[in-house]
Amino acid sequence: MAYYFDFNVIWNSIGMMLGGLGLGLFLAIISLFLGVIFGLVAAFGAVSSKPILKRLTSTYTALFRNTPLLVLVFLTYFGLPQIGISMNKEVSFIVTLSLYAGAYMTDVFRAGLQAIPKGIIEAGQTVGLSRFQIRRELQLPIMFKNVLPAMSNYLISLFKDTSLAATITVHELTYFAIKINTETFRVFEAWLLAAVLYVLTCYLIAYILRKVEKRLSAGSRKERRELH
Amino acid sequence: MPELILEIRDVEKWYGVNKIFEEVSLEVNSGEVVSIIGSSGSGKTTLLRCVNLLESFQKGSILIDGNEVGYHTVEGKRKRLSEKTIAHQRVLTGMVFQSFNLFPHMTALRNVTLGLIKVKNMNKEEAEEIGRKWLERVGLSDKLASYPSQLSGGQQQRVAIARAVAMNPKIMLFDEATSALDPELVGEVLNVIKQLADDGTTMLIVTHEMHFAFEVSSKVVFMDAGKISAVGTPHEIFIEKKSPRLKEFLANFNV
Ligand SMILES: Nc1ncnc2c1ncn2[C@@H]1O[C@H](COP(=O)(O)OP(=O)(O)OP(=O)(O)O)[C@@H](O)[C@H]1O
Ligand SMILES: [Mg+2]
Repeated sequence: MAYYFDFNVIWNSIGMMLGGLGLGLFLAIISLFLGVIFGLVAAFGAVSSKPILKRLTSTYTALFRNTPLLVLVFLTYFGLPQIGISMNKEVSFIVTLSLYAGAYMTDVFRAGLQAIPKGIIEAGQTVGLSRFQIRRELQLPIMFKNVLPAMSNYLISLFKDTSLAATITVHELTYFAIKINTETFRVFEAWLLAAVLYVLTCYLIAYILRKVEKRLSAGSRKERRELH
Repeated sequence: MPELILEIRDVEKWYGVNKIFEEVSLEVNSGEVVSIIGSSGSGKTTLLRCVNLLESFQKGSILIDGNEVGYHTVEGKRKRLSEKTIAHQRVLTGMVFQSFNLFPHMTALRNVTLGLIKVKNMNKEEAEEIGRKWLERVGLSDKLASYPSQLSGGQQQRVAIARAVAMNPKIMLFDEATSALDPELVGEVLNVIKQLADDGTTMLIVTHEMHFAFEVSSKVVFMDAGKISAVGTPHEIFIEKKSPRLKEFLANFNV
């Protein structure tokens, strides 16, 4: 039997799909935000001179970077309640995804911090800056400038990962694609639309972030002009 | 009576099991320019880094303006001071590195004012006035808003000099300030250092520019084989060349 395309049912559920897409974006952005915070803390631990901090952070990144995300999602959502830690599904997913993102960002930030020439830090020391001031005035801004492209690319990756939330019935885009699928049997149309929406959104994110990156470097140009 | 600014007393430095130098003693008076020469690996950089406390050292003491820096003695034991105290003491010295080490994300002016604002707690206007003044003194009044990547090596090094002197240190330390520069840019940087010397800035200079050392120095120190092997006036070191090792070393420089 030939497959006939019928997009009508799909158009009826586009509102739902877009809503799911919005939730997915939200999950990705908040997880990146939290992941950046975890990553910063852990990265400074990783480059510190204290062996215990190094050990702790490398254990963290090793665990989270070597376990499939889906397994982590299940472990948090189904496993933790067994030992008395239960969260609603959205929170559970955010916790998982942000820790997962944090492990990745730790490595990105650590590499970014290590790439800063030692002499620049020493120059800060000779000027009399404290360790905290060196972090805030030198290491953080220099590192961020270098890792900004990696971070924005990672947001796209995280956004795609939010599709795994469907497995614990979080109402994001993939969840609705499954739902339409089972309710209407418009299998191909549902998945095609989901794929198109993911692609378009990823393009949009990339486009916006390139703009933001440009703006940030333009900001320093403006400062330059004002001084003249 | 000249005022003693820097006093290095019998300092000994080890990296692990390697002794880099021992029995290093040296005095620099206010307004003096002391040059350190010596072959590669003789410990010149390491000595400067000990003076501004980037390196620890195992024996001896360093006094700036009469006060010991970096270490203190508690119950007969020699202890390194806290990072915080050391950060304060570093303001007493200004350091210029071979590789400039400007803050890459900041304009030339901001490079100079950062320490003034964050360490000397000046407000922005005060700091920028001083920053502008010093950048003008090193010939860069048209580059205030340039980022390091937009400057030549010579210009970057002049910003680095301005950054260090603007903090008003007791003594300026130069570690081969021109070694990383293309030959045609060496002159502009040496001129700036010379101008500082003429203004009475106290300086300790590590250099391979023998003519320059001969010209500006009040005193020249020759480091060799882990020790200070000769100290004297430029005339004694470069013309009389008293020791055979010194003669041998200077022969490489056709002086
Ligand atoms: N971080 C370090 N760890 C171990 N050894 C070091 C370290 N830094 C320097 N050294 C050693 O200390 C000695 C002195 O080095 P230093 O850089 O002070 O010499 P230098 O006189 O400045 O030489 P150059 O003229 O080449 O700059 C060298 O033998 C060097 O290998
Ligand atoms: Mg050296």
